[in-house]
Amino acid sequence: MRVFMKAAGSWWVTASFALGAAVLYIAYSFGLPVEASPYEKWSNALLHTPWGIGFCLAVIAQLAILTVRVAWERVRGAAATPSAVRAMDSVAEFVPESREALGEWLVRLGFEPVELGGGGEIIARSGAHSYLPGAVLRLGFIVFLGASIASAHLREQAEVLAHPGEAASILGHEFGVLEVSIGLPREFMRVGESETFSIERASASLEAAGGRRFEVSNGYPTMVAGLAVRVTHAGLRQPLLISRGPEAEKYLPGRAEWAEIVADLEILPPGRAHELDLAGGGALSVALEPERVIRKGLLTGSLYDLESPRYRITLAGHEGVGGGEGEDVVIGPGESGAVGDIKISLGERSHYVKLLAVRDPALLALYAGSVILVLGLVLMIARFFWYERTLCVAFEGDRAIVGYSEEFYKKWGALKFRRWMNDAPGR
Amino acid sequence: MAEAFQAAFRESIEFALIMAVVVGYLWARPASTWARSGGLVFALGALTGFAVGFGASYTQPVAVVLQPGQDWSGARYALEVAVFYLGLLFVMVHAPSMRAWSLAVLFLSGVALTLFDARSLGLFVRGVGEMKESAGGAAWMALLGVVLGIAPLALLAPLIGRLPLEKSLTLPGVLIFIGAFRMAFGGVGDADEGSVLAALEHGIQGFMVGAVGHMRQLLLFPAGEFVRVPLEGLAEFLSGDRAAMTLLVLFVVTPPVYFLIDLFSRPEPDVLGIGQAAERRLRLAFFQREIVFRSAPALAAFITILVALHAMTAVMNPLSEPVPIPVRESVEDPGVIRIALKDRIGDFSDRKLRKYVYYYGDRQVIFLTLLKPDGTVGLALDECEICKPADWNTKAQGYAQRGEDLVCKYCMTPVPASAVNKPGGCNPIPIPFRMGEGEVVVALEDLIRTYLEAKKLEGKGMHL
Repeated sequence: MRVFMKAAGSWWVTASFALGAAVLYIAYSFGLPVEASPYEKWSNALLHTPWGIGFCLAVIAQLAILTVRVAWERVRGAAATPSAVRAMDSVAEFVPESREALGEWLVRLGFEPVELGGGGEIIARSGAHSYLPGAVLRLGFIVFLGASIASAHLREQAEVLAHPGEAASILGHEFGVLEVSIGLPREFMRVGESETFSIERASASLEAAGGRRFEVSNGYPTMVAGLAVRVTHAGLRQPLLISRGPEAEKYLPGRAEWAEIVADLEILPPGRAHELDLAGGGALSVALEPERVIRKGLLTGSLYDLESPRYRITLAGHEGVGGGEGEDVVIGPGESGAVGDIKISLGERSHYVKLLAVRDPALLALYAGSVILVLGLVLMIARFFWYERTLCVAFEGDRAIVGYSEEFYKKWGALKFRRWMNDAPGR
Repeated sequence: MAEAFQAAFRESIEFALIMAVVVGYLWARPASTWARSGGLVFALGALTGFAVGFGASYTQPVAVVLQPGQDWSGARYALEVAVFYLGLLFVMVHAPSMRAWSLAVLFLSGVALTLFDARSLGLFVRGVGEMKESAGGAAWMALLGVVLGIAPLALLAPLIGRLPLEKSLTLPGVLIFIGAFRMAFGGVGDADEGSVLAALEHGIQGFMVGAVGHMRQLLLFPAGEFVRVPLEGLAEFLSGDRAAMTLLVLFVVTPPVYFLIDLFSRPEPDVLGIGQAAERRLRLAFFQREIVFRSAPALAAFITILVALHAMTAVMNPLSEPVPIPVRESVEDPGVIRIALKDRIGDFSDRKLRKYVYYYGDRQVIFLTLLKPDGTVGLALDECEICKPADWNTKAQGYAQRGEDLVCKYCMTPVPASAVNKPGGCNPIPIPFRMGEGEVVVALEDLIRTYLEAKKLEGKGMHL
C-alpha cells in the first residue's frame, strides 16, 4: 500500500498526466485550419467519451493520493537516524559540549527542538504545514474537475424570454413575471461604427408557485425552485397596431387587414434594425432614431435618447398597392404614422429580458471548486517565503550528526548552515 | 538558380551550427565507444533525414505526401518545442547518464533535425527548377549551397576542439540551446513555414479563449452581447492577446531561466575545513568558473529567445513610415499650403500617418499629419524636440507609426496619436494650422518659422 501510494502519488505521475493532456490537445490541432482552435474537440473528448472520463477520474485520484501523501509525510516528519541525517542537504559532525548546550543552541537559532526517542535525537522543524497552499490548490482542481464531469452529463439548460405581467415556463416550472427592469442609459452616443453600448443592470422579479418571489439579475445567478437563473440579454418591447390604408380596400377589396403585434425588438445597441414581417407580405424595418447627429472633424456621432426613444420605421419588400417601399416614418410610443398604405400606431414601450436557467446538481460544486482553486492560487504566493526547514541531530556515541535541509533556496540554506556551524557548541 | 543556392546555403549554416554543438558535446564526454560514435550516428541520422526529405521531394509519389501543409509545420513546431522542454526535463531529473540505447535516440534526433527543413528545401528547390526549366541545375546549385554551408564547420573543427566544451556543454544545456535556436531560426524562410513562436502564441490564445469560454458557460456567465456579466473584464483579459503573449513569454523563457536558477543556486563548496586561504579562494574560483561555463548554452538560448520574441512582435506590429509627399504653395491662395483630407492619395479617416515635404530653398521641411482618436487633425514637424540623431544616422530622425500611435524612430518612444499638436517630451513639434472645407490649411510663414525655431533649438544644444 505504501509503495503504491508513493508511486501513484508522485509528482512525475502528475507531470505525465499534464503532458498527456497537452499532447492530446496538440494531436487534436492536427488537421484543423489555422484559425480553428481544438479546444472544443479536446474538452468534449475529455468530458464526454468513456476514455476521456476515465482519464479525468485518474487525474482526480492521482491528485488526491498525491495530496494525502504529501500531507502525511509532512505530518509524520523526518526521521533522525544517522543515515537519514547524513542524507540531508548539509551535514556536519562534531562532539558537542553537552546535549543541553546543543538544545540551547538550536533554540537560539530560532528552532523549537523536539527531542525524540531514547537516543536523544532532535528534530527541529519550521514551515511543516507549508504544504497547505498546494493542497488547497489541488483540492480546488479536484472539486472543479469532478463537478465539470458531472455537469457535462447532468446539466439541463434553457433560455426563455420574460415579459412583465406574463407567465414564463422554465424547465417544467411555471413562474409569473411581476416586473422587468433594465438599466438603460438615459442617452447613448454612437461614434462611427464603434459600439461601446452596455447595460449595467437588467433584472426580473419572478413569482414561483406558492407565492415566493425572486429577483433575477445579470449578476450572480439566483437559485429559484432548484434552478439557477440569471439574465443574459435584454431589449425593448413595443406594441404596434398595423393596418392597411383605405387605398388597399379600394383597389383590392378584402385585403384591408390589421394586426396587433407586441414585438421584442432587437434594436439595441442603437443603430441596429429589427425586421417585422407583415402578414400580407413585406416587412417593416424598425430602428432607433438618433435625437441629434453631431459632426466633429471627420467623425460623426449619433446621440440617441433612450429614455423617450423614437423609432424610424421603414417599409421594405411591400407587395401591397399604393407603393411605399422604402418610405419611412419617425414616431415614438403613443404616436401614429403611415408608411405607404400602412398605418402604424405604437403603444406604450416596456422591456423584456432573456433568462438563462440551469438545473445542475453539480453547479454548487463548480462554484466551490472555482473559489477553492482561486484561493489556492492566491495562497501559493505564500510559498515564496513559507517553506519547510528541517534540522535534525542524531547521535553516534558522543558524536552529534547535524543535518539541515530547506525545501527551496538550498544554496542559501547550505550557506546559512555553515554560518550556524561556526557557533556550534563544541565544534 | 541563385535562390536555390541561397536557401540551401542559409539552411546548411544553421544546420552546421547545431551539428557543431551536438558533435562538440559528444566529443567532450569521457572517451567511450558509444559517446565517440554518438556524433557519427547523429550525423548519419541527419544525413538520412536530409536525403529522405530533400530526395523524396523529387520522387513524384512521395512528393504528394510532402506537399506543404499545416500539419507538416505543426509537426516541426511540436518537435522543436519538445526538444526545448526535454532540456528542462533533464535539468529537473539531473540528466541521466546516456547508454547504448541513446544511439538510436541520437539517430532519430538527427533524422528529425533535418527532415522537415530538407523537405521544405527540396520542394523549394524543385519549384525553382521548374520555374527556370532546369530541375537538375537547381538541384546542383542547392547541393553546392549545402556543401559550402557545411564547409566552415569542417574548417573550424580544430578551433572548436580547443574550446572548453566539456565544461560548457551539458545535455540539458545543449537541448535547450538547440530548441531555442530552432524556434528562432527554424524553417526555410522562402518556403511555407512560419514562426513557431507566432504559432505558439496563436495556440495559447486559442486555448485560453476556449477555456475561458468553457468556464463562463459552466459557471453561468456566458459572454452577453451588451448586458454586463460579472468578471467580464477578467475574462476578456485572460482571453486577450496580452495574456497570450505573457503566457508565451513565460513558456519560452522557463527552460533557460530554470536551468540558470538551478545552476546558480547550487551551494558553493564547503571550504571552511581548508586551512590555506589561497586554496580556499582557488576552490571557490574554480566552482564559479564552472558555473559560468555551464551557463553559456542556456544564456545563449535565453538571448536567442528574446531576439526571436522581439522579431515576432516587430513582425506582428510593424513600424510603417510613409514616403513624404512634396507639397507647394497654393496657386489660388499664395502664402498657404492646402492639404485635402480626401484625395487620390488617400483618406485621412484611415488614421494612417502621412508625411509631406516642402522645399524651402535647398532645405527640406518635412511635416506629418494624421487623424487623431478624437476625430480632429494633428499636424506637426517630423522632428522631435529632444532627439537629434547624429549626422550619420539621419534615417533615425522623425516618426513612424505602429498601430494608431507614433514612435520616435531615434529613441523608439511610443507617442500617442492624441499627443500630436501638444508640445513637450518626445512629441513632434506642433505647427499652427487651421481647418478649411475638407482640407488642412497651413500658413507657409508658420511652417517656416516653426522649422527655423526647431533648427535654432538644435543649434543651442537642446537636442541630445
